Amino acid sequence: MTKHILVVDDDPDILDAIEWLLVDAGYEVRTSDKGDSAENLRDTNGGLPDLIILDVLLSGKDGRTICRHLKSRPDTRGIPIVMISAHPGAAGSVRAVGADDFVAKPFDVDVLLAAVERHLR
Amino acid sequence: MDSVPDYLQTGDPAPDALKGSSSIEPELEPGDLEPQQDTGRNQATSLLMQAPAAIAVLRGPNHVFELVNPLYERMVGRKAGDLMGRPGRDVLPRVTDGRMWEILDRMYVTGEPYDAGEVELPRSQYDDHPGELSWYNIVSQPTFDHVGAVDGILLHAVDVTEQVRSRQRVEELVAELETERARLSLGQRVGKIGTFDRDVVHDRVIWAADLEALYGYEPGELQGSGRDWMSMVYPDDRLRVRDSIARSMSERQPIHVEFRIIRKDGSSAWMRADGMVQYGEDGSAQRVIGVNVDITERKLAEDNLRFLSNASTLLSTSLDYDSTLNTVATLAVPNVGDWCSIEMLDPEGELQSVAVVHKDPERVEWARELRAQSPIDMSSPQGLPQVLRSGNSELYPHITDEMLVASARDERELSLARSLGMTSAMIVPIWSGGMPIGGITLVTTESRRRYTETDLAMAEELASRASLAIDNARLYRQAQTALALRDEFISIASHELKTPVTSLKLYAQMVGRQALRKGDDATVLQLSKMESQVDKLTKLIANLLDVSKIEAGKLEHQVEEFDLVELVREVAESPKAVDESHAVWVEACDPIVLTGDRDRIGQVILNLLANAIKYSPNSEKVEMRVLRDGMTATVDVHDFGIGIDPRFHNHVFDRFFQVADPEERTFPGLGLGLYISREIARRHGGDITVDSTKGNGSTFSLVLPLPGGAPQAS
Repeated sequence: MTKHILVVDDDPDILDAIEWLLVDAGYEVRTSDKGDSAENLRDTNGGLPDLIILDVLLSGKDGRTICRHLKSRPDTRGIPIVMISAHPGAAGSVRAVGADDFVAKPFDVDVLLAAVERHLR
Repeated sequence: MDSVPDYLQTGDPAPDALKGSSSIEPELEPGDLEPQQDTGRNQATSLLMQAPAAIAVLRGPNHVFELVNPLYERMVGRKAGDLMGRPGRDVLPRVTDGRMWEILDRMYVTGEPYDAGEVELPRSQYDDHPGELSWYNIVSQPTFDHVGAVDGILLHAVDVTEQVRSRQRVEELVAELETERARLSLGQRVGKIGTFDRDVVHDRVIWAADLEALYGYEPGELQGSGRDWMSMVYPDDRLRVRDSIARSMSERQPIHVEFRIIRKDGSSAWMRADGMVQYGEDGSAQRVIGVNVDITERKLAEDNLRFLSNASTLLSTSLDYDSTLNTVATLAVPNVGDWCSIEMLDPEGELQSVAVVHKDPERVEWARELRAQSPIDMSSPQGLPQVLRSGNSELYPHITDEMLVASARDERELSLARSLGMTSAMIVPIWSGGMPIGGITLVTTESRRRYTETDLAMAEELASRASLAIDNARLYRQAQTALALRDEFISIASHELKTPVTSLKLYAQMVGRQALRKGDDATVLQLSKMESQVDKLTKLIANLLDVSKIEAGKLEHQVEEFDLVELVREVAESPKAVDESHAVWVEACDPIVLTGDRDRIGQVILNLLANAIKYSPNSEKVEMRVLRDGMTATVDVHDFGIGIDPRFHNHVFDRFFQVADPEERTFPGLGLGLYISREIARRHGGDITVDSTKGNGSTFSLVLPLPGGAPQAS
């Protein structure tokens, strides 16, 4: 069964590169460049993603707020969230909002893939 | 009185006029002339001859000597034979100005006796001590004939030398005492000393006039009890003074206590009392004798100096001048004033109150209200506005009611000003960039202290130091703002730089993967080089960000427990550290659990390892060792490379430091790695040291404290 991953980042090139990486690795990927649409998690068929990769600093919204929100909802609480950021110091704050993992930008593709696989096992 | 001897030497042929007509003794008739004529006369003559006074009888207007007794001979130094029957002017001619002869001449007209008083003259050759000064009390008495006309003169002189001498001695003594007294009194005024004598048993204090003067009273005004004295002691000081005296008495020690008093006119002064206590047989204090010394000037000078010194320290240690000026104002009260306010001009040229301090906090609120109700009129020809316009200080040694009346704008302001109860005030300008930008106002009220030029000089010194501190603070603020802007810029820039680097790295790796699948080895190699350059770029960005955080004191610091040995192994085996050229040997002991930021410590170890590899291009291995020693854990990273000249050992940790050696120019970098590493180590309570000689490799040691500062159980 193909796993669905939602990637949220405000940089289109990063979104594109991560989508390429994940599709190449055999995942089904949806992307969003805005924090506000991330709350509309369900795809057109009403399905929830199996994992979310979420940037910390989004234009318009803080990824940590989204993370805390998702982790507080019963229907989304179980979805693993891997947060990514160019601020290495953000590691502590993302754990505080319930994120399952943190990967500092820039990262090796293997590091991100390893994190994804760890939570989809 | 040099005419007197001449007067005494007066003589005249006697015209028999003395007979029966002398006012002293009507029957008196000089026996020398007619010794056998009358027994009574002989007796009188005999009496005159033996009298304990010098006596001469001059007869007629020419003052002819008719009688002289031996004491007279002795007094004038002439024998009777030389004088008798001859006019006085002839035999004793040394008549000064002829004045005494004139006096005797006039006696024939007036008939009045003449008292010459004490006459000073040298002792004659017939006297015991010729030449010595002697004094005679000389009286001249006219004698009258039967019709009441003056017919002769009786001179009567008593040797009063002894009395005069005694009196002179007394006078000298008195004069000496007067001088002494004057000197003492002067000394007391200058030294400001006054004495007291307290009868403890009857509780009476005898005040010397000089002490009363010190307290501003007239002599005799202050004779009262010890309590009366205490009522003049400044209320805040009374308890301390009482305790100090009681303690001295109980310890049988002399009394030494310093306190403030309130003088009769309401002004204040500092006194030092020194007293000796006399005790009765039962051991109770009977009497205290002592002095008060006015130490006001010394105290105020001490206060001024102490205040200035404290204020300077404050001004130099803090760069936050708003709070500093507030502290300075707080220090000023009550040491140098009862009120202190500091006003500064804001950028719009409006006066802003920076500090208002009064001994009583309620009064501070009241002062703020006062200022709000009655803002400073910037056009005022005096006070702070004038000080700010002219840059000249103002000193009001004594604020009178007339001054308040003159300066108040209306009745309400006058009553407010009066309610302040100001005694004295001074205003000094604070400068910045050559312009007055504010002022310090010091006012005395309850303390009654009157400011002097010395106080003004102190206040000006304070203001100049405050000015300097303010300039420094402004520069510092500007620098801080610039630094904060720089840090913010670096922080934003590094984030923005990382975004393209992230996608660049991702694309390079993805392209590399595809090339690998296609077996395109050349592309894989080129892409891996590209990736390694991206990594270097990433590290430079990270270092810049770290430095800016360190400078701003904002380096994040996670705290967790971790095993140092495990961390060292992890770093040593990480693909970032190891290249094909070097083997990394790790010699480690049992786990060492530390508390700190694992990632940051890992960053330090990685940096040391990367340096070791970088600076040992011709060697094949790096040795790492982890050991525990007492209170610390140490990670040694030893390479066999080019080494570092000892003169650079202290500098390798400096920011942007690169060894300036032509043969070592081949090692690129910003020179930030060791600086950041040492900062991280120090933030963990540790340090990094270096041991190296040129050409013989280097050992860098990361030393970290063990938790709790105590060795862990192994």
